[in-house]
Amino acid sequence: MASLKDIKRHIGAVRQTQKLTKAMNMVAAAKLRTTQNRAELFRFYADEHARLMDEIGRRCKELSHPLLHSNPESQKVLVLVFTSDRGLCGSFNTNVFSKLDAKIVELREEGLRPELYVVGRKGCDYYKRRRVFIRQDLRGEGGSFDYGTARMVTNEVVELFSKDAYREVFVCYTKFESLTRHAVAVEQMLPLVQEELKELSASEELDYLIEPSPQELLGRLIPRSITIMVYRAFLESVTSENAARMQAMENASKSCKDIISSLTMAYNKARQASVTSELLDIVNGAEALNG
Amino acid sequence: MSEKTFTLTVVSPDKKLFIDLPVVAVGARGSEGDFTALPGHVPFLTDLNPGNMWYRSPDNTVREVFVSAGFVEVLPARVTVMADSCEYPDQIDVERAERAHKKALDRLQQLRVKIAETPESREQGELEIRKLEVKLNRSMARIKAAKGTRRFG
Repeated sequence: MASLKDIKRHIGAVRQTQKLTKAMNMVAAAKLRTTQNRAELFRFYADEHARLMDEIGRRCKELSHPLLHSNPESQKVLVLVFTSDRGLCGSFNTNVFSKLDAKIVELREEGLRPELYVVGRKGCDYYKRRRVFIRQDLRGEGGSFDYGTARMVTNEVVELFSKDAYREVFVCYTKFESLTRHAVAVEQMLPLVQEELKELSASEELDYLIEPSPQELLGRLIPRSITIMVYRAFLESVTSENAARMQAMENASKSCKDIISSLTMAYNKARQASVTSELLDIVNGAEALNG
Repeated sequence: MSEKTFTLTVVSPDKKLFIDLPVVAVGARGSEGDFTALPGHVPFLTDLNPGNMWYRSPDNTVREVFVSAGFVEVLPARVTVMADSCEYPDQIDVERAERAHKKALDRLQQLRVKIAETPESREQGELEIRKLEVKLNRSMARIKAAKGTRRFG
């Protein structure tokens, strides 16, 4: 049986850990709020953009843009995957890996050669040890990732797509559904999938003056659509990461509490036992003297 | 005020500068030239070059807003600007813009030298030069906007 002193030290250690996990929980919660705000602001922009795309798309009957067509003769497929830079976020990264591993197997069975563009240190570490070619990676951006970074990533991906003739580009990220529910999604990014245009009634139809031509303007809008996809995937991923971390830290704090209470119980029992045995010794000694 | 107003919305991916602000006139520089829109303007779509846009409020004050590239949609009762970034000129970090400007210039210089030395890198280099020129344009517009060398209305 552990001595009283050992138990006491153990309790102290667990209490320290609890302080830590509680602090991390709060940090994650604060970060979660900021990213949610950012996502909220961004949603407005993205919606406006989608509406504009719709308006212009309706006016160009024949669309042709290099980013709208795949390279069917190529066997290479690029997957842009979002993971976290830091650990201690529960099964956040593991979920991404298992989904992506399945996707890679699926692509290989189709006879394609998947390559990766990994965002986040954890993803780099994981896939470096596996037999997958990492085409590009981006680490340590977790905190400072902004729209400009999204634009840079997009430029790189677009350049790879058109120059190295990738067949398709997918994006793999964690979708934030609620505080406790996040789902890993794999979506096609390039060639850009066009959504079905809603038919408008004649009264809603506006006669726009478009400068320069609709085709040209659409050509300038399309790269932005992709940037929006990248940025959204990133925001969702960071939001999920922080939610996952918050959850994990809350669980950790809770188990700290459990451990402390069971250790305290053990400590009290041990103390009681030593008091009792001391008492017995004294009583026995007194009795021996009297006897 | 009897003047007619319409609303102006300026958004960027990480900011809502304002939503549905009532204004009497809006001006901006499109890729095909500067324009001014008044209430009841014909529906109009164009993209913006980096630079200042301005709006006139119902109380007749004019304010400028810096936008780096983006798009603008003009409707008879509403103007929506979607910018990559937008800010009031007095909020521009001039130092940062000047740093960016200098960095782009230096890199441009390097590339020119490199292309002159190794002709085979021309294609790659020219692509980057085009990108740098866009960056230069943007930082120059920003510096100009902050120093208020352009005046409207």
